[in-house]
Amino acid sequence: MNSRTAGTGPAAQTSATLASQYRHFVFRRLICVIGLAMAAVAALLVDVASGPSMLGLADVVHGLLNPGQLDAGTRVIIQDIRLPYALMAVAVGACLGLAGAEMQTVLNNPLASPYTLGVGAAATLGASLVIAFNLSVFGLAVHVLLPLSAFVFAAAASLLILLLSRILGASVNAVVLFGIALLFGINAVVGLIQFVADAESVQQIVFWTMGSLARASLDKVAIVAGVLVVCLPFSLRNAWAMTLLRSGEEQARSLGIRVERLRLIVLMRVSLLTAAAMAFVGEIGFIGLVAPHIARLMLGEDHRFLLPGSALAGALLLSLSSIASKLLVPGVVLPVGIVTALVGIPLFLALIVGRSRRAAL
Amino acid sequence: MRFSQSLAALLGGTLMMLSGLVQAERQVTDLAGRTVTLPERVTAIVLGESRYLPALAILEGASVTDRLVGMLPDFEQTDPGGYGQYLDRFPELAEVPRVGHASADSFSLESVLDMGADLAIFSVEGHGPGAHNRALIDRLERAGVTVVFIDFRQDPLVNTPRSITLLGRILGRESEARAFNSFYQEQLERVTSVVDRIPPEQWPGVFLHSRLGLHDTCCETMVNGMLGPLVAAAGGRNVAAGRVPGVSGVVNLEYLITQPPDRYVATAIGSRRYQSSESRSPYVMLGAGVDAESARSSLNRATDRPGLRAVRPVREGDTFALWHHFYNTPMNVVAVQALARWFHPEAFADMDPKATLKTFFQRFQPVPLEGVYWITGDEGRS
Repeated sequence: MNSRTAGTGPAAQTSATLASQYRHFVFRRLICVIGLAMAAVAALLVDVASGPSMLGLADVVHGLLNPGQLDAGTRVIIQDIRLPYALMAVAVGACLGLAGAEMQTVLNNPLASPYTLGVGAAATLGASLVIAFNLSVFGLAVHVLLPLSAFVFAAAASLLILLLSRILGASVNAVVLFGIALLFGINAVVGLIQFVADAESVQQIVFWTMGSLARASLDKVAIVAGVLVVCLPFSLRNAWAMTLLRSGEEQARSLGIRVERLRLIVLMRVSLLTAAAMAFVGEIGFIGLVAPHIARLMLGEDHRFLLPGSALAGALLLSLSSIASKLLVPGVVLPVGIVTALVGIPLFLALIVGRSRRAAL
Repeated sequence: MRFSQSLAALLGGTLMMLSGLVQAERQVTDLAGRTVTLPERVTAIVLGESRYLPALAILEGASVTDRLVGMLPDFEQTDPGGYGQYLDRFPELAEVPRVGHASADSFSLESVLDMGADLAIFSVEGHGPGAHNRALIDRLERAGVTVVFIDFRQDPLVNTPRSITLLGRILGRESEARAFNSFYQEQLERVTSVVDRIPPEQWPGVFLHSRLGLHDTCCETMVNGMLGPLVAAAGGRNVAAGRVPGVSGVVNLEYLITQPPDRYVATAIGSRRYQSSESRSPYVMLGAGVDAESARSSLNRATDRPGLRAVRPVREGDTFALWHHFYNTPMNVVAVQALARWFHPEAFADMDPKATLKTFFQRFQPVPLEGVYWITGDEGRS
């Protein structure tokens, strides 16, 4: 009797502590994710409310609810400028953040981002070809063909990497090395196109590589958001497996995760997310690299939280950048690709410094 | 002894002074601020930008290709219409070696040296080698090639006559240079003398939409340099001045909608080559070989975009387009006249920029680069 109580008492106590610890663990992360989401929504609202005209948030909301009462100029400002830019920033940021987090996990490489494997470069190649050779296929206009070609090339690059890795075994090193080889190869081809293209085309290619939200329109936003909505549930379904993978490939394998298969699926998803994001706004670097790290610093390795957290961090970062690109010089738009790093780095450094301070205490 | 010594010293001193004078006379300052010693004679010229052919022709006239041994292919790339007309008149242009591609990096030093060039004419900045390509300039000079920089784009209205004077001295065509410069100043003063009397508050706010159609982003503009200074000279108040700090920048469309400019001027980068795919081209077509009808319909097509349509002058069809390549040619003075007429129709009612352009072609060009170089969206307003 005594021995039994002596036996169960501490065990029950431990499990109770574990359970409450776990609840605490989940609760804290949930709060962080909700906090990120609220910050992203707040940034979106500020983004919609900011611009060179005196149109505030209330006017925009009122204008959205009663579009009939607007004059033509205000309608264009709300429907063709403010709203698409702001929503595109959130959608593209989320895509790149999610893609980056997944990429870093499956490649077990903190420096990985959608650009590492040449997926981004392939999109640029697709766009450059259309620009330089003034291509027209099936009578499609350039503004339709350009994102389409970017998408096709990004997807083709991913498929090529997947194919090669499949033949030779999809180890992390193989995938990364193929990707890097592809990246350099594609960059060389883009350089070659710029060499043979005329001066205006070169300018246009360079402009494309700078990335700009000004290419946004509501239907394009819908496509990017659609891709995100389709990908996110699949990402979350793989969250447990990816969390395990972070504890080591052998460990994950011994627990029954089919690592190669997981890697292929994730890379496929990453290329879809990247291509969708880049197709309409051009190259926007940095978000895919830093958003996952920001999320990781706040949320740790549990991918149930890390993945949505990273998407939200990406959305927040690009949304803040979009605000900055409009407000830094009133009336003038700075290319958002230039602003992202300027906005993201202070945020990132603050988190790292904050963490090392906590660790020192 | 003493006398002969002092005589020798005197003679020697005089000789040194004379040679110094001769030396100083042989030296000029180019548009990059470099001191250049003029070569004894020039027999083989390399053009850092082949778009300088019309500028070279102002001085060389019908013998523009005689001393030309190499050039970059930017003329045929950016202005195929103009190049085509030059090629018709000077078929030997096709045989002039292209010493690179559309960038400074592609400029082939070796082929330039190989063809025995003794003068390289470069642009301070632009599509060819610029003033910052020190290594290239240094090597050319060590190989005995005189390098000289000219400029029509950084400060066009000031640097154009300076560039022509400089080229005139180097090429031994000083009277041709003087003739052009007096024409240039006269045509410029026809505008500035009137504009100076118009009070600044009557200057219209002008939005210069650079390279309309090139990006689906809106709206690139030019302020300090290229076509920017032409707007001010024609009596226009650039609405992006004071906002865009550099040569070019992107203005927020929202700004243009809420604070609409009085005058909308697009720059045309489309040329004759787009005429086959006319209905799909997003550019305004202007320049050599383009007729008024296709120019006008291309302008109206290019401005017919959802966001841009909300900018008041565009909505009202009150649009104007200018040949983009005016930014890099001595013809820029004609653009000033065209803009002045568009900005102040009453004050310049009796000025005919088309006649000025015609005179320019007749007097200073071996090729009558026929075409339309500016156009209004509304036929009635031209």
